[in-house]
Formats: sequence, C-alpha cells, structure tokens
Amino acid sequence: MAKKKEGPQIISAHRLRDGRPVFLGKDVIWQDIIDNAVIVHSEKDLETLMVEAKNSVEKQEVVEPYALSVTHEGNMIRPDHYRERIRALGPSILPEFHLQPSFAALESHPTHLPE
Amino acid sequence: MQLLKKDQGLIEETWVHCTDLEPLPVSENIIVGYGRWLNEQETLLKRNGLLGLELPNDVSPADISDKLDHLSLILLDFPAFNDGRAYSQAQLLRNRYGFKGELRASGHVLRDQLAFMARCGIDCFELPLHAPAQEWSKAFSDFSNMYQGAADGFATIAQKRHLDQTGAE
Amino acid sequence: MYQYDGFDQEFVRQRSAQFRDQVKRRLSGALSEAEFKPLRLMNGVYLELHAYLLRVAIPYGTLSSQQLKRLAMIGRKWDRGYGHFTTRQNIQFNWPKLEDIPDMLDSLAEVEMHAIQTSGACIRNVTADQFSGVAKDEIEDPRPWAEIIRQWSSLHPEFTFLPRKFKVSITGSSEDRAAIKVHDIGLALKKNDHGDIGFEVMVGGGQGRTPMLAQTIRDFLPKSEILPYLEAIMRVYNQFGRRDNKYKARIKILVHETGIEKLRSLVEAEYEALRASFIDLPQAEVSRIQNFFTAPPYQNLEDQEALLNQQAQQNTGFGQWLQANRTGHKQPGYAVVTISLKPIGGIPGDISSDQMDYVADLSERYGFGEIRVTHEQNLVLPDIRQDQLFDLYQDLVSQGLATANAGLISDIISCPGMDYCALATARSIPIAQALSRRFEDITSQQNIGPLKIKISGCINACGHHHVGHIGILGLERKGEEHYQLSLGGHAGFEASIGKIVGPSFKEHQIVDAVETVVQTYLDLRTEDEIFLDTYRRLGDTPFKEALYAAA
Repeated sequence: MAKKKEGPQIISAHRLRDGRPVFLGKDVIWQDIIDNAVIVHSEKDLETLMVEAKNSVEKQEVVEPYALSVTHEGNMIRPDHYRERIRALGPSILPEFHLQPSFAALESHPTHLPE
Repeated sequence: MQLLKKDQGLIEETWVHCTDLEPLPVSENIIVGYGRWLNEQETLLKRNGLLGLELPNDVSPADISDKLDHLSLILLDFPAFNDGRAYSQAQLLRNRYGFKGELRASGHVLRDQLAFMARCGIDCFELPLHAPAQEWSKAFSDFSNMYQGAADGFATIAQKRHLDQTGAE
Repeated sequence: MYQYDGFDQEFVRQRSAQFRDQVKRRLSGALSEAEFKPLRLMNGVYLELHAYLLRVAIPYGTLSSQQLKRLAMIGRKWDRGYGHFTTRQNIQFNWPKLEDIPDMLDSLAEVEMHAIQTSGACIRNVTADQFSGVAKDEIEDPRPWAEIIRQWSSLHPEFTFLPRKFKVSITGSSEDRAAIKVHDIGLALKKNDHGDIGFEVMVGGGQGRTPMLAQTIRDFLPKSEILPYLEAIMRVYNQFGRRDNKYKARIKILVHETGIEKLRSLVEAEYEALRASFIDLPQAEVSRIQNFFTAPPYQNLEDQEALLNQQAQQNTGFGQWLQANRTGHKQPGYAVVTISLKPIGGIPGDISSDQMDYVADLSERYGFGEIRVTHEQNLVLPDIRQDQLFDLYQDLVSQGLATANAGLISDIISCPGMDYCALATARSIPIAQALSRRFEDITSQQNIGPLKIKISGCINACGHHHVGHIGILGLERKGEEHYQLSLGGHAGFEASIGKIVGPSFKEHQIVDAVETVVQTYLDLRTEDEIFLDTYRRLGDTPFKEALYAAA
C-alpha cells in the first residue's frame, strides 16, 4: 500500500510524438527542462494537476503521466531519485546530449567513479 | 457488441446466450457455458435447436473432440488481448479435430488481431460497440501472403515459390 | 547471405504499411496507448527513459555492406548518429521519434531489413554463432536453418500472443558461441553415430530473475523435422505456459515446474499428432535457402603464418591485435576478424554512423561484403585474406576500431542500463568504462587471458551477467546504486550460472573488487589456466576471502 507522499512533487510524462520526458508546467504547458515544472505540496493540489495531465493524455499530447518527488530552491528543481535525475538530464555518459536543468550544476556529475 | 462474420460483414445475433441456471429455451439456438455443458450434457445433446459452447481458454480441445458433431458454434475466449491460448484452440479444432461449425472470438478482440484469428480458423468476431467494423474488416487483408501453414488452409509462401516445380502443391 | 524475393519484399513492405497506419491511428487517438503498446512492441518500439527506442532485427547476426550503410544513414537522418549492438545480435537506435519510425521502417524494408518481432511476447530474432560458415570446428552451417525458422516464425498467427517473449539460438560447431543453453530453445547441429546430421533440441534456458540452463528435450532430431517439432513445442508452451505471473511465464518455468520428462511426453505427443497435417517446407525450398549460404569465391591461397609473425614482430600493436582478434578460418589463407566495439573507456557495443560506413567499406574492400554481429556486441569480418590482415589492421586503427581485446577482460558486455533503460535499477555503462580503463594495458590483459565480464543494469539480465566469468548486477539499495558480483558463469556447451560471491559493492568499490578477483586468480592459477578453470578448480572461497576478509 503506497504511503501518502509528503513533500514537494511534480508531474512528468513522455511526449507522444517523440518520447521525450516532459514536465508539467504552468497553463498545462509541458516543459523540456525540469526547472519549469509546477511544484505542488499537497495531495489535493497533486490531484488537480493530475487531472490536467490526464486531459493532455486524452488529447494525444503525452503518455503515462506520474508524480515524482523533488526538492527545490529558487529556480532549481532536483528529483529525489537518481533515475529521475538521469531522466531529467540525459544519459550520464554522454554530456553532449545533456539538457541543462539547474540541478546539474550541483552534482560533480552523476558519474563519479575512481579511475 | 457487434458481430462481424468474415466475408459477410456485420450480422445479427441469432444465438441465445444461456446462463448456467436459467431454463433452456425449447428450440432456439443456444450457447451454454462449459460447466453446464459438463453437467447437463445428455439434456443438451437431445434437445432441438443448434448448440453452441463457450470454451474456456484453458480447456484442451481434445476434451470435447468426440462431441464436435453436436456443436454448431464454439465461442473462444480472449480474456485479455495478450492471452493467446485461444489461437491454439482454434487451430486444433479446425485442423486436428475437423470442426466445421462457427468459431467465434469473444472478449478482447482488437482490429490488429483479426488477421491472426482468421488464419487460425476463426470466422466470426465479437467487436466492441464503438469499433468501425467496416474499417476493421480491412485488417483481414493486411498481408497478401504468409509464411506458415495455418487452419485457413492458404498456400504458404514456400509452396507458392515452388508451384511450377511441384505442380499439384 | 539470404536475399529477399518478391514475397519477402512484399511482406516487410506490408508490415511497414500496417505499422504506419497504426501510428496514424495512435496519433489521432483512434488507438489508446494501452491498445497501441502491444502493437508497437511487436515492431520493436519501446518507450525508454529519454526517448523511444527502435530495435532493428539483424537475423542471425548477418549483415550485408549495403545494409550496414543503410543503418548508418538511418542513424544520421533520424537519430543522433550512432547505434548500439545488443546481446541478441540486433541493433538499437535510441532517439527515434514515433512519427518518423514508419519512414525508418520503409527505409529498412528497401534493404531487406525490418523490426518485426524484436519485442513483445512472440518469437524473437533467431541468433546464431557469429562464425557460422567459416569456423574450423563447424559441423554444418546453422544459418540456413536460422533463416528457415525466421520465416516460419514471422507473424505466426498462433504464436503471436505467447505467455512471454521467446528466444531461439542455433549453433553448428563443436563449440557453442551462441549461448544456446540460456535460450528458451537452443539448437545444436550434431552428427549421430551413423554420420547423419541433425539437431539436439534443448528447452528452458534463460536468465533474468531465475537463471536456468536449457535441458535436452530431444537428443537427435532429423533436420527436416525442425519446423513441426518447433511448432509442437510452441503449441505446448502457448497452452500451458503460465499467464498469471509475468515473472513465471517463460518456458524455463514450465520446464522446471512440469519436469523435462513430462514436458517431453507432451511435446512428443503433440508432434506425433500434428505431423500428418503439417505443411512441410518443400525440399526445393530448403535447397533454395541453403544455396544462399554457400562459400564465397575464395581464392586458392596458402596460410601465411611466417609473414604474419614477421609483421607482428615489427609492429607490436598488430601482433597483439592478431593474437586476440584473429580466429582461424576453415579456408586456407583466410582469417576471421573480430572488430572490437569496446575501445578503452568507450561505451560497449556502440558504433557511430561514420564507423558503420567505414566498416561496410572495409567489408567490400577486404572481404565479400558481409559483416557479422556477435552476441557479445562486437562485429566480425568473416573472410579476410591473411596477407591483407596488416593492411586491414591499419585501416581499423585509423577509425578507432582496432582495440586488441576480443575475448579479453576489457571486452566487456554491458546492457545500456539506467543511462537509457526504463527498467534499469542502476547504471551499467559507467562501470564498464571504469573497468575498461583500469585494465587498459593490453599486455597485462593478454597475461590475464580470456575473461568475460558481463554487466546488467537490472535483474532482467540483458547484459547476460549470469553467464559472465565475472558477472555484475546493478541494483538499488537505499536510494543508491549497488553492484552484486558473481563468479564462474559461462555460456558455452559447458555452461554454468555464476554464483554471487557476497554482499554487494557500492559504485566506488566495484572496480577495486573486480581487480581483487583478478589478482586472486593471477596468484592462484596454474600455468596456462584461464580464469574460469581456476574458479572451477578452487570454488569461490579464495575470492571471498580476498574480497571480504579484510573488511
């Protein structure tokens, strides 16, 4: 049974046409960069946001929207789980394909292994 | 639900689906469930009217093979689109046991499965009410030729490749 | 290699048209995602972490130069200029747009390629020994049979909604280079006591959550019976394979739960029953297909060991490359070359469009225009004149394709892992890269000898870690990436599933752990003993001690 999530959350999905991860922003505009996502702090607000997301699904804009936990400070939104950080950034091994969310500056790099 | 008959189009339902407990109609064409078939077989085989059977998709066609002469319709179950057991049942009923009656697909029947179902010998399809049946019928001819032999008896690509050499094949 | 006739061509074109219509219906909303997903999966289209993925079939790992060039073009035009070869001899593109995929499939169809059944609960790409047709130890070339099985299994109407995916592999040599014992069906061509060649049929191998080795269901099956026999196995599986639990739905579970004896009797009974009405392949068709796999126009040449030794002495790099990447060819004067796609610190199995074009050119200049893909994510040029090996080597060097590590410790097999894959629990590629750099020196790699590291980023084991001499499985533990080490796996005829050696390691510890394992082996091996044999002789005790005692 899922625990009620606490803390800030955003909604993400994949754009139907090109499969790119997108984040639900203001005015139901799906954003490429996680910084521009709408943050909610309550289950009630999350539900409202999810209704918008599902409408978007009905319009064949995105597929499989879901909520994810984040921390945020100023402009920066940083997903809590490392999978979501990779998703919001790009494959860790290909910096040339990285998007530029603000949280990227925080990590030295998701890849950090001894040589 | 709409009924699509291969090579005919939409048809009206002429069969009565009987639940397990209701009294059997006197002479209409009826479809009964497997439990009823097992429990009341003598009665069912003796009555007037055609008999149809809902075959659960985990029952082997071998179990009913000796009674196929009494059946005019077998309803095959596709409980989920990805549960493909009834394809094997259909092939066996046609090829192994020579069933000549109607094989009808029910449950989760999607447009893109129709060609596969037809190849396996299914000739009638319960479609969702909203499905554009005429549009969906085109699916039967998505492929002009197929590689493997199936219950539909169509010549395989390999056979067609060597018609000149093998003549009769 | 096999060439399409009008029927094959029409088939892939119609399939492509069908998918184009399905995409159109999806984009218009006539099909929901739930309805579309199984359809796109049957065309090898996944939705992954960053984008869609298109998995293109490379039947039994054989490509023409024209096909490889087309893959290069597709990578450039519709993707980000590279592709990735998989552990099933297929190629994946990581960034296609759904709306472009119909065009990509049409382009593939023009060169006799497709993405049919590279995903979904159906019979997948039939894989084969990458040295088929040229290996010295070959009993019979398995590829004509792989092609026969490919056609029979393509959109087979009865077996398109199986309990789960179904993988077939086939080998025709005395050594199994196709990992048949970890496939749902493994086929090995062999000779019986009368000298007839037939198939040993094995079922129920597989990796993933519950790795199992395949068991023999039929010790000797005449070749002509392969299709009806496979149909019998598939029908039994389709009817009795579990459908209640996705993780127990492979045929290996059916074999395990039913027992091989009972399963054999079910299959043999079905085979007996279906035999009479099965539409056999006409012998003319078998011959027609076999004719595509006859030997190319080899010249009458002598072996060139003296020349090669001389060249090796003059050029150390060439000598090292020759030692690792050249395999003996059954035709005198020729060689089989492995092109490593594991450059030091590189991404295993990745190749740029430019490199694809280059390799295609090389296959035409030096060979007969044919390239093979191995299930260990490398490429093979199967027919190279020995007296041209040095020239080929230099050309490969110019494109960064001459890493002399085939079969050595830095020839790492790795799934894409969490850098790409929506199923992954950890990243795998950065581990492969770090290990590759740690063991960079080729001389010490050759000293270590044959050692296969295989890395999977999740329990689905697409990196084949269960059959790695050293296997690494990436997991999540308390919100961090952890890596579990297993030892002693092997994928040949004497197959074995690796054994987990102890508690998992963190990201920054795993490379040291592997080095500890290697050092332990070097300390304890007898002369010429490879890692696998040392492990089999000593068990995991010395390795456990070295890894965990100090802690």
